[in-house]
Amino acid sequence: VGLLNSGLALEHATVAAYGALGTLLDGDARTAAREIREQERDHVRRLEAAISGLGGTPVAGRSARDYAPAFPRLRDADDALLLASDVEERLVRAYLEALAELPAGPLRRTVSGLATSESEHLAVVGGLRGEPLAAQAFVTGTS
Amino acid sequence: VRIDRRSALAAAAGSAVLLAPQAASGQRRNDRDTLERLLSLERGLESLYDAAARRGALPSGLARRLRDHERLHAEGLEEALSGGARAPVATVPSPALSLALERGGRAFLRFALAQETAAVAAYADAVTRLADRDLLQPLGSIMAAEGQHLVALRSELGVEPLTEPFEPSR
Repeated sequence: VGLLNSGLALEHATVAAYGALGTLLDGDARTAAREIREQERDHVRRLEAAISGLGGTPVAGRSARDYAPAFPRLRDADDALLLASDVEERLVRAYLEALAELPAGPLRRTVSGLATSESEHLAVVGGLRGEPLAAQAFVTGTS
Repeated sequence: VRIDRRSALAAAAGSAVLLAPQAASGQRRNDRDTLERLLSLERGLESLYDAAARRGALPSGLARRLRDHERLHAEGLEEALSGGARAPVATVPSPALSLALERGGRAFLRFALAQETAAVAAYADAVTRLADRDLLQPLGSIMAAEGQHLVALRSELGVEPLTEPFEPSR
C-alpha cells in the first residue's frame, strides 16, 4: 500500500503540474497536455481502487495552489514541456522501482502498465520538444 | 535503484544464473521459459523492422531505430539467459509479415502495431509471474520502450498516439 500511495501522490502532483503547464501551451501541444492530464486522472482512479482493494487508504490530493510552490517557474512553452518531461520521467522511475518490490501477481501488471503509459506520455512530450519518438531502447526514467 | 541502458539486463543476467539452487529449480526453469518466449518475440520484431527498413515500409530512420532497439532487447535477454541450455530461437520469416510487407503502407503499420501490442502484453504477463525480482526493472524498462514504439507507429499511421491510459488495456 505504501508503494502504491507513493505513486498516487506523484500522480496527484502530475495532474496539478499539467494544469499549470497547459496554460502556457497552444495548438497540438495544448491538446496533448489535456489528453495526458485526463490519462493521469485515470491513473489516480486506478491506484485509488487498487489501494482500497488492499484495505488501505488512498492518499488525498491537494489543491493546485498547494502544489504550485513545488513547480519551477514557468515562463514559456519550452519550460512547460520541460516540466512535463521531468514529471513523466519521475513517474516511470517510480513505477519501475515499485515493480521490483511487489510480489508476483496482478499488482505487477497494474504497475508495469502504468510505467508503460507514462513512457508513452514521455514519447509524446519528447515529440513536442522536437525529439525523435521512441528515442531510447530502455526507458528507465533516469535519462 | 538506478538502471541504465546497457547495464540493465547485464545485471539481470547474473541474477538469472545465480539463483540459489534451492530457489526452486522449477521457478528458475519457468523464468527461463518466460525469457525464451520474450527473446523469440524480440527477434521477430527485429526481423520485422529490418525488413521494413530494406523494403521501405517505414521511414528508414524510424525502422532502423526500432530495429536497433529490438536487437538490444534481444541481446539483453540473451545475456540474462546465458549459462544454461537454450532452445534455438526460430527465425523463419512469418507469412503474415510477408503479406503485410507486400501490402505496404497502412497495412504494414497496422501489422507492426499488432505485433508491438502483443509484445507489451507479453511483457506484462511476464512481470506478473517472474520469480526473480532482479529481472523486473529491466523487463519493465523494455516494456516501457515498446510502449514508445506504439506511440511512434500510431503517429506514423496518423491516429491518436495515446489511445489507452493503461498499457496493456484490461
